[in-house]
Amino acid sequence: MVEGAIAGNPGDKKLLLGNEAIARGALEAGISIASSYPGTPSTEILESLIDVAEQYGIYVEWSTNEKVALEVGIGASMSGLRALVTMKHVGVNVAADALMSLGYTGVIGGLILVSADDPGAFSSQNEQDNRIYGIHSYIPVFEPSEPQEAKNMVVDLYDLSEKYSSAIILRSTTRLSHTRGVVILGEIRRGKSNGLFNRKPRRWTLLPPHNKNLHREAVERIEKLSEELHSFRYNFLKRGEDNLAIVSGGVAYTYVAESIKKLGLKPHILKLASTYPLPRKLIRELFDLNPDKIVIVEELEPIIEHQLKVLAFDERFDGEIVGKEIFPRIDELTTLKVMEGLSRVLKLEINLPTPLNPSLNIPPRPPTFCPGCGHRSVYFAVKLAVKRLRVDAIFPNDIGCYTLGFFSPFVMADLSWSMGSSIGIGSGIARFSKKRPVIAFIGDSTFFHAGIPALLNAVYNSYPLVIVVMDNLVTAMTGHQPHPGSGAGALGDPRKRISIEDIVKASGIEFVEVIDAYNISMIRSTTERAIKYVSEKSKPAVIVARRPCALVFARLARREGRKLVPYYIDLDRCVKCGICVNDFACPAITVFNDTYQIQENICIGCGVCTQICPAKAIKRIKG
Amino acid sequence: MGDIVLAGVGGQGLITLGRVVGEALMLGGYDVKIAEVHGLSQRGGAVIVYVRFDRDHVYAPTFSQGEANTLVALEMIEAVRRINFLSKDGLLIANDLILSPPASPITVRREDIVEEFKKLGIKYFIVDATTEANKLGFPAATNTIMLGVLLGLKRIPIPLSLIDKAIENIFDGEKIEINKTAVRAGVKLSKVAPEEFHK
Repeated sequence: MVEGAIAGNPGDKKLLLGNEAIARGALEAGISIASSYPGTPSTEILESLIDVAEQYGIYVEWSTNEKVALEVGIGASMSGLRALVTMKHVGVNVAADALMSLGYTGVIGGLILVSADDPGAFSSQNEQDNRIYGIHSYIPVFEPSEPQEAKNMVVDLYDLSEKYSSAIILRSTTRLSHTRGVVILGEIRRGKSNGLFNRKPRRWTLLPPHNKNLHREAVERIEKLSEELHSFRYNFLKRGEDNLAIVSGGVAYTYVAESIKKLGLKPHILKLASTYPLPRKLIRELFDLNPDKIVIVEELEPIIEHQLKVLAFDERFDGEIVGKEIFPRIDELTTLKVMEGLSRVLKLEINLPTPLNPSLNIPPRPPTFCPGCGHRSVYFAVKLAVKRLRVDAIFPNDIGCYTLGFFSPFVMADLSWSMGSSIGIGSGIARFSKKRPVIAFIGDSTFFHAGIPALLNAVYNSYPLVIVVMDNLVTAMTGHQPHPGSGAGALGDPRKRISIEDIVKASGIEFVEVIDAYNISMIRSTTERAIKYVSEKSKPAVIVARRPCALVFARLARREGRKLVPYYIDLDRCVKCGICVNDFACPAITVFNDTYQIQENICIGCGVCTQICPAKAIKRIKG
Repeated sequence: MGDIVLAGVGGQGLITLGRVVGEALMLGGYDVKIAEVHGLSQRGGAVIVYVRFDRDHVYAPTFSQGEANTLVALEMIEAVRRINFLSKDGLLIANDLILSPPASPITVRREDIVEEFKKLGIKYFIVDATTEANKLGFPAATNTIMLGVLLGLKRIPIPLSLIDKAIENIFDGEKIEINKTAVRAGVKLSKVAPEEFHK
């Protein structure tokens, strides 16, 4: 029997993802609530808490967006409960309005906001460094280096959060969140299930003049923390033998640890868990060691560096301090980059392995729409519509699996910005695009998250915009979390679905059509009508193209023992036109030595390819 | 100290393969770090998983080019893509399968890939795990067959019994027996010195 990833008894050793370790820490700290909007690399934190939520009486929620997730957590904290709120780094932008006020008010029940940053931008639109949000909002920032430390630190941070009445930002990165490491489990504490709202209007109601008092309190809180954080056990100064000091924190510290071993260095090491504010006393101790050089190794922005240089000035430290002139701001660090940087600072000769360098030209392999994905047929059909009308359409796109429409053969993402921007930016383009129609693509989860305000704006200000909602009934890209249109809660419990088309109709949009995303001719003809309608009436039109995510569909079918009957290509009829491979690009259809074939093991039997084959050569296998 | 790269295409079960290897190593008393790729890139994209283990503490989640002792590729194009991670005296274990990316402008032939391995002068072991998986009736078990090959070629210092225990910890129901059978099939394949076990 497989139990939840984060279940287990004190003393058990488990191989946990950083995200699971954070979740286990929260479980051991006795949280009452966890809320989140899914986003890589943060998603598994809430997912692993969902597995144990009923057992430990934790309320879990996939919120509509990150701002709401944070606000729900704040409400619970005001009621004296411990709350965990998790999101990816760009999600904090959405939550930032609430976050700034939280920095002033502080908390009652411990509150940790996990910001899962993405150095390297593996699955994000940028590499923003959210430690800056801590400085901006007076909320202390902590960075664990490894899963075990993350688990332990989260437990202690709940105590710290309550001791200083301050929310905490726990900054993770992809290489912590998505790295598995050995974690020894601790005791689980059961959180309170009843909250008691603390009525403190002078604290919670941010009105003049007491908002200035709260500002002062926030400044004092950070000052106090800075003076006391040297005793936080994850901050430490280890004396070395060399006349060199290295300051680091987060995952960067692990690269430092490996590099100094490989280079045979014995520097003083200041390992920081609290990267805002810095523990002032430990910094003074470091300066007192009088190293010739202090080297700061951190990923992305010079957050430690700027603070440390100010302290060096104040404390009259006269050694050299280097950081971002050596280590890049761009991309994640690696042990190799840290070794190269250190060897440059110290003028060391190092021998690095020369990697094997194959000369064979291989094709790139970007992610693709899955076999049976409804997005593929929608793009294919909209492209046909645009071709038939001979218009040069503009395609604002949004954030989700459907962003893959960027890649060949569709090439239908002229922009992808932030959640909901396809409608907002699309509006701005449409106002001035004259004869060029603007067709904005947005997913269901993204529509609920940030599309609705932009939709209302488009209606009220009469933007000539075609909006295609690519509805697969779930937040697919991050691993199928439910949203208000899914009809289920985080625990899979059935809920009444909120209908996208009802919201659209209620906003006053007259052109609203709901179509099966597999029906290519219907989507094509409806898109043609929508383009004409928008151009004649100068008003927005909405098409909801709906089909459950193919992965969810296939999984459900397997679970229920339904057989997915694949299709095959009748080679006697196939005219080798290549449309199925080159224009439709289903991974289940391949061509080898000019012979077209369907891979039965990955075909889920959607049959959409039968609609696009001009020779009618694709047929269902008779089972 | 061991650094292993697992490479393949999203959907081939690379993350699961990494988990089983890591779990078994942990049960064998090693410290382990496994860096994975999640999210969108899993949708049929190129996937890489880093596995690191040591008797001492393993700090960093990843390693650099030219450092891996072993590259396990579940697909041949991906073997070429990640070969830069393999050290010159490392071993490549490749599944004899080519999955051309849809609508790809470049076609790669198997013989060209094998020729490339020869030119690079590396040790490689090509094994048809996918056909073996289909033969067993578990088409999804290509990954655990490759795990068996990895074990059979002694690239991970753990006994089969700990792999079994890891499988029991990670899988549920009938998948436990399926995967145990697949690992054994893989070990067997590793003993049949194929033509293309090139040294």
